[in-house]
Amino acid sequence: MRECLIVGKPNAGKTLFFINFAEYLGLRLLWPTGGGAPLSPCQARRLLVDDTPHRTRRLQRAAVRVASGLGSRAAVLVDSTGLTEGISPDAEVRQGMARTLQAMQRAQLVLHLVDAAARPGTPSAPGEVDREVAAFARGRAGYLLLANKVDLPEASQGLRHLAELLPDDALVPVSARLGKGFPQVRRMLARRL
Amino acid sequence: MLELLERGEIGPAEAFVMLRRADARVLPPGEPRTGPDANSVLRELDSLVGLTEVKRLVREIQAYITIQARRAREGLVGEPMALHMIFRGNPGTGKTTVARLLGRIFREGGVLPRGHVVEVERADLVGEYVGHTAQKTREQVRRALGGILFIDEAYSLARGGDRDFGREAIDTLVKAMEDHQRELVLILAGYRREMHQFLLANPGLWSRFPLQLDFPDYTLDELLAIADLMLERRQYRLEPAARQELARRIERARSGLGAAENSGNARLVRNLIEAAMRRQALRLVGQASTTREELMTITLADLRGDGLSGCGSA
Repeated sequence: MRECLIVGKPNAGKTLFFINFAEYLGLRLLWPTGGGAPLSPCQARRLLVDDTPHRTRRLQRAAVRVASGLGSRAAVLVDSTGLTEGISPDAEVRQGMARTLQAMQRAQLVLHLVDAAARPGTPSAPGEVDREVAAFARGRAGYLLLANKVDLPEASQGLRHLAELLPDDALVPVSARLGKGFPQVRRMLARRL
Repeated sequence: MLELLERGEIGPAEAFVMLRRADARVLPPGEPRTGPDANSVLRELDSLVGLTEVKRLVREIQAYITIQARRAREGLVGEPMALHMIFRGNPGTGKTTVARLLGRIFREGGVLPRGHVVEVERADLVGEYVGHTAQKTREQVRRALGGILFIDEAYSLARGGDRDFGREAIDTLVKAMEDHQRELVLILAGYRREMHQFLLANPGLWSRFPLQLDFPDYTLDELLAIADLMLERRQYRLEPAARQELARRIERARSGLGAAENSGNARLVRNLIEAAMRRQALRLVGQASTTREELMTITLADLRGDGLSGCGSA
């Protein structure tokens, strides 16, 4: 099964994108990793998403189908632990990041989410680790750079900054919260799966 | 590397740098050797007669491999180079010999772990019923992993139209090239014109075989030089008259009818010489004693095979 791995810094909006995009592709129930009752997208948003960085400690998976031409392709959408600049003091986070890197080595497609609305200098602002993610993923798997949170006013500034940081990659502006850019991401996935 | 990240000794950014570096290295640790064997391969290459263009390209490839290895040591990005090749030329123009040398160069340079050459042809790849072909082809690919899969007369895979199983063999090979990017080099060999048509019929293959080498027919002088080399290695020598006769024979074979395809080649020379060696043996075996000189000399009669003057001179 083809894996689409969602990666990015903490608080880039990976989990919200994961839930909302899976819902957009038709998923009705999410099965949390490590057991527990399945969650509706609505419950998942409430339970798995908030403003504190590193909410996601393990890979979360959702089987989806991506419409492509007349048919559709099965794929697994995978949410991952955010990658920090520098070394994290939290052992569990470090373990999660190791799992993220491991998953990146085998994923067929990497969806790289960056926070376009973060003020420069804040922890979730795009930085060195994003450049490394891009350099690594671009060379081996399908790679899409998604600039998230474009519904926020700060994003226009952030998009300019991103174009300087990652000049080689075409970026897709998305809003995980509002579902903006989802059709384009789906089309690009369909082409690459 | 992942453990370092987990233990908190490095951050994700450093981990990516290390992963990229590992990717750039074409092979796990093994430092490429540039010792005596690398030089001996080049010496052997140089000892081949003619093939100027082929030698140039082989040297280019070797230089590229060496520099890639040095770049990897410096942690520079390494673009994995597609080394699949097409060899075009008549039989006996040195295609297999060069493939074997390349196998050694690839092993020395750390491009392929084993560098052996597995020679196959259509019958080794194409099966008799549906599904059989993929199975046979995969089996040959498996044998060749870590080395070179050399497919002689590769154009024959495309004969027989769309329903022929050759198609399936081609598809399986293309898939194997992708699955085993770093463990397999594919060489498709065959006659110049047929290979050209084969590629025209399979346009997807052009880009997968970026290296195309032409093996021209040898000239008369080159063939004579090859003959001298063969004789020298076997410790024989030709009488002057025999040497002239050899030149005449080669010339005749080259200009004769239907000669275009296998006369310009080293195999013809080898066959002529080996036949002469057998006749020389037959001529001498009846003699009670033979001198060192006699044992080494091939006469005009040995080469001609008419047996008359040979007996007379003994």
